[in-house]
Amino acid sequence: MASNLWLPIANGEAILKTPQLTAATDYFKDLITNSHRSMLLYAPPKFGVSTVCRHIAAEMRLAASSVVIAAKAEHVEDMRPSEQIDTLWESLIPPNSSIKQYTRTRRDVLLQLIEVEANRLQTRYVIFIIDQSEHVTIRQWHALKLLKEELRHIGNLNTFFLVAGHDALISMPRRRRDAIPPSIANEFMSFPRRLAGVTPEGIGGVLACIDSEAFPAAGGHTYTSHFCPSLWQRGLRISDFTATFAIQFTRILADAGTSQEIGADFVIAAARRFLLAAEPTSTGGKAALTALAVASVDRCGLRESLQLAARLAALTTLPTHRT
Amino acid sequence: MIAPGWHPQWWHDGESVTSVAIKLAYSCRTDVGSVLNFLVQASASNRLPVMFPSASVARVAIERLGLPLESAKSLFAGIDKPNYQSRRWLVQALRWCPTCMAQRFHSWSFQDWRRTQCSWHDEPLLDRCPRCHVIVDPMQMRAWLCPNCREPFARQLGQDWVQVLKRAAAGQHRRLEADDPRLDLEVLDSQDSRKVRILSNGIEPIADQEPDQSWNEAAWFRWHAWEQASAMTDSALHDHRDCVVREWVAGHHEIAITTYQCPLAAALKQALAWMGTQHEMSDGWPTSAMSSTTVWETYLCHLQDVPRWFVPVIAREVFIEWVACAAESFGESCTPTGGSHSWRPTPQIDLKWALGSTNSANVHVGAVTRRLPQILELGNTTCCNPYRTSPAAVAFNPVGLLARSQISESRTMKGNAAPTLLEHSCSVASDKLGKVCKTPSITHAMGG
Repeated sequence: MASNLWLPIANGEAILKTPQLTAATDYFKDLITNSHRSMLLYAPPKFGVSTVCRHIAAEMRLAASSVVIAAKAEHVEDMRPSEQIDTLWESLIPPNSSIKQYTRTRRDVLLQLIEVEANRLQTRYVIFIIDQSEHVTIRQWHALKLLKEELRHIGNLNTFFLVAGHDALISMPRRRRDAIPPSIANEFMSFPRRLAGVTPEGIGGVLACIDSEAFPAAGGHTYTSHFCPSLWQRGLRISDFTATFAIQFTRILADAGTSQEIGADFVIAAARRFLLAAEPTSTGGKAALTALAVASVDRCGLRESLQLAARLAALTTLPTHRT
Repeated sequence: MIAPGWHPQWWHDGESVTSVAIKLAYSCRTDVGSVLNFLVQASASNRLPVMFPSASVARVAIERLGLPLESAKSLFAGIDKPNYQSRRWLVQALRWCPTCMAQRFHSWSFQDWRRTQCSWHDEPLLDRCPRCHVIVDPMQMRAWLCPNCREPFARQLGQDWVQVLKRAAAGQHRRLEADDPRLDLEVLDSQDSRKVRILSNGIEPIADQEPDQSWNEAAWFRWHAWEQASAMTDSALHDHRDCVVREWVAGHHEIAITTYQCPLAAALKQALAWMGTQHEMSDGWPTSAMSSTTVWETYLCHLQDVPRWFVPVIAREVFIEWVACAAESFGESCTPTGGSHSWRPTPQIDLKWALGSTNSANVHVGAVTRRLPQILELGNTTCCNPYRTSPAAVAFNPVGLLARSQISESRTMKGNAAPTLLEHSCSVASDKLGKVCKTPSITHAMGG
C-alpha cells in the first residue's frame, strides 16, 4: 500500500498518491472510457486539485494515447474581451514550445500544434485540463466551445475537458445557475466530482510513505533519510509521530468546528516542516521531536486557512437589504 | 519530450538543423530565429551554435526533435569548438538548391562556399533571393519565404501540410560522405603556393545573373569577407568571442587611437569597421550597414574581369591580409594590461593572383599574412580582457558563459583541439604568374 503512495512524474517531481487522488483519477478514466466529454473536479483550497491535474496530465502524456493540453487559467476579469481570449490561448499553448511571446495568431498556432501532435501520436483524442477554472470568463468559455467544435468538425478530433478549480466558485449551484449559461455548463461541467481530503485516520499512511519512498534525487535515500540522516540512523521514523500529528490535526479541526477533512497539502506541509527541523532537534530526545511535530502541525497553515474560510462564510451569509 | 508542433517523421536523413527549424517555424507560425533559439540557444548575435553547438546543447535539441543521436551528424556541421579547417568553408547566409528546397530539404553541404551545385540535382546553388537579390539571413526567415521581400522559395503548403511534409521526407536518404568529392571549387594550400581551381566548368549561380551588377558585386565581395571574419572569430577566439563586442572602434575615416584589451579581437573589429560592417555578435550582418564610402569599396574596381567563382577567394584573402596586418600592429603595442594603438588599412596590399587558365588560379598572399599563425596566437595568449577570466564577470555575460562551457566540453571530449590556422599561411609568388599590373590599392596579375 505504502509503496504506491509516491508516483514520480516526468519532470522529476513526486506526487503523493493518496487514495483521494487515486479515486479522482479512476473516476476520470471511467468517464473517458465511457466516451463522456467533460468532468468537473472541485475541492477547497489546498486539497490537491492542482496535484490531481498534474498527475492526470503526466499519466496521460506517458500513455501517449491522446493529445494533452494542460493549463492554469489566469484572472482576466479586468482585461478587454479580446485580451481575455488571447490570454486563454496563450495559457493553452505548451510552455516548452518555440512560440514567441507575442504572436497575433495564438489560436491558429494552438490548432496547428494540436493537429501535429495528434498526427504524431496517431490519435483522435484531445484532453484539455484546465486548472483554476474559476478564473475562466464567460467569453473564454464560449471561445473554448468554438475551438472544441472546430476540432471536431475540421480536424475530426474528439475532445475531453477536465475542468478543475475552487469548489466555492465552481460548484456553488447559484453561480452555475445564474452566471454560467446552461450550454456552457453542460458542455464543460458535467460529471462533477469533489476531491476529498485526508482524514486524521489516513495521516499514518501519508507519513509512512515519506519513510519508505525514495527521494526523487539520485542516491537511493528516502525522504526521511535524506533530510534527517542521523534521525534515520537512530531508527526513528516520521511515522512514529503519527499519533501526535493526528491528535494535533484533530484538535485544529475541532477548534474550527468543521468537518473531519484535511487538505493533503497541509499534511505534506507539516511533514516537510518537521523533516527540515528534526535533524538539529533530534539531540533533544523524543520529547523534543514530539514538540516539534506539534509545532509543525500548528504552523502548517491549516488553522489560519480555516479561520479565513469561517470569516468568508460569515460574510457570504450576511442578510442583504435590497429595496 | 518532443517539442510541440514538431513531427519526427518530417525529418529527412541528411537534413540540417536550419531546415528543421524552418519546418518547426512554419508549424508554430513563428520565425526561424525563435526556433533556433529554442533548439540550440542561437540568436542573431550568437550564430555559432547553429553550426557547432556544444555536446549538451546538441543532445537537448535532438531529444526535443525526437531523433536518433546519429542525426547530429547531419543536423550540425560539427560539435563543440570548430577548428579553422572545418569552419573556414562554411557560410552563415543561407545557400540552397531550388529543387531540394521545393522538397523542404537543406543540407550543410550547401553552406560550403566551395560548392556551386547541388550534389543530388546538379542545379546551381542559390545564395541570394532570386527576386530581391539580398543575402538571406536564416534567422530572419518565416517558413520558406525571403525575409526581405517575402518571395517564396518553395510552393506554399496546403491544408494537408502535415502529411505533405511527411511524404516529402519519407524514404529520403541524402547523407553525404565525409570525403564527398563533388566540391566545385578546389583550394589547395601548400608550402609554396595556393592553387584555386573550379571543377564545374565555371557555372555561375542563377542569382548572379541580375541587372544591378554593381550593387551585387559589392554585396558579394563584402559578404564573403564578412563570412571570413566570422570564421576567424569562431575558430581563433571561440571561448572569448565576446571580446569582439567589447573592443572599441576607432573612427572610420580618421586615424584615431583605439584602446583595447584583446589584440586579435581589436584587429577583427577594426578591420570589420573599415569594411563598413560589424561582427555578428554586435548584431552585424553583411547587408546591415552598407556604407558606400569605405576603403573596402575601392577594391571592387579591380575585380571587373575576375570570374565570379574567384571573387570569394579574393575577398577572403584581402580581409585576411587586413586582419593579419591589424593584429600584428595591435599585438606589438600590447602590454599585460591591454594597450592603445591606431590602425588603418594599408593603401596597398601585397596580394597577387594569376589566372592560369579559364578555370584555375594561383594566389600569392602578403608577407604579413604569412606570419598569420603567430599573429593569431595573440587571440589565445595575450587577451587582457577581465571578462575572459573573471567568473563573476562571466556570470553577467551569457554569451561568454556559453562559449566557455563549450570549450571545456571540447577539451574533455576531443583533447587538444586548438585552431589550426597554420595551413592557411602559404603561397609564395611564382615568377611564372604572368604580367603584373600594379595599382594604388592592390597588386594583381592576370593572364593565362
